[in-house]
Amino acid sequence: MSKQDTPMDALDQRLAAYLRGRAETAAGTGPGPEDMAAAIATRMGRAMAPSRRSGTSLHGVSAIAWALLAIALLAALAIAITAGSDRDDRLVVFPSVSAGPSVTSPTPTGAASLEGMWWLDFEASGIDGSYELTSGGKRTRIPVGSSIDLAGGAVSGLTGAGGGCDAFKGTYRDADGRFTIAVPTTAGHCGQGPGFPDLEVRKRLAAAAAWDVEGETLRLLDANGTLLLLYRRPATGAT
Amino acid sequence: MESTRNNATPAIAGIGEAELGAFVRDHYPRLLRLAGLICREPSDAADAVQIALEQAWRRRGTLRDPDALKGWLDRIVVREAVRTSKPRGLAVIPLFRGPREIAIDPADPRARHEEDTGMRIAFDRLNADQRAALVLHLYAGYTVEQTARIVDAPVETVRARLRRGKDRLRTLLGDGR
Repeated sequence: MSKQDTPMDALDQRLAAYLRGRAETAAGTGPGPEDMAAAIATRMGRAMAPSRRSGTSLHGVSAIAWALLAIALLAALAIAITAGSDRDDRLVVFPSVSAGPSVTSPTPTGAASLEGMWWLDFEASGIDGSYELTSGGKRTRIPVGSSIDLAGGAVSGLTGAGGGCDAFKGTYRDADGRFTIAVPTTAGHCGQGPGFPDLEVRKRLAAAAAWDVEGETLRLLDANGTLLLLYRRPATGAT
Repeated sequence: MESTRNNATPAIAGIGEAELGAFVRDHYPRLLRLAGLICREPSDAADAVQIALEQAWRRRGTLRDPDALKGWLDRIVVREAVRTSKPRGLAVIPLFRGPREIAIDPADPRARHEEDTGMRIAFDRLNADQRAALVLHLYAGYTVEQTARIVDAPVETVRARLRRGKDRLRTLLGDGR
């Protein structure tokens, strides 16, 4: 990166290395160059053909008519979804066999899913979402992020650093009326600095016996129905 | 395509329709890498590159300086990738939000180790403008001024995007650990 006009700091170097690796991965995705060239040639050929050049006709129907039809269909879809939103947002709880009274719930409708990416709301979970860093005799509280990704019985996640040592993997099971998460509950390679919440998060994950999803919120509960961890879906276009 | 072209189209102004294939082969892999770093979804990246290459091919007559080809293509692709990555309007967004934004399969070989996974999660949390600025500056090696020209934004705006993007990465990754 000879064109850099400012010295690269540690984060720059780490990010640059990551981007180089991700770029090579990206190069292996998508259609091959020949397929892409053929697709573009086909589209360019259509664009240059007399019947397409005007851009106004497709099977004798104007493009504007097609656009209006598409808008009408989207509007109908949006109305239908909105009409059913009350049902979709209903609290759905999946209790374990041993769950206490407060966790009893209606039979899952299948409308809610705990699968996918979730970010921990530390405050709502009652965990300090920061740790203390001492540098040059100065103490600083560093905010921490924590996420989990649940998919097909596998759980992966990380808390705070993402430097590798605070990432974890495990499994979860949600069948026969029982819900369990199995993740390591010993101290990570990062060690446990003052207030670093990684181990606390993993211990609470391992204690989860039930879950419920309401809208964009996932709550993990223990066998007595007590809230252990509250997660939220990633926000679109977050800054 | 003549064999004497030596694996690269020096400029696209004035070259004929028959050379479209060679033009795509010459530039597609590099542009796919660039778009793949800005778009969260590989399919979005491929779409962005296809649209950008079509635009470039149509407007090839406007490019007179062969040395400007790379930056010119990067500019078109990056803008299309950013446009593709930005949230769409209307009520469609809530239908597709959630796991689609950050799609990481722990068994995916692309998540080669845990550090990559952590950085991927954090990087994908940045907005498209911040990702584009960081990619152009740290990956493609453009200066801040060159980056500003590519994304068509004031230099100070690009500096702010770089600064805020890195601040957010530090927050998400946990600075100093």
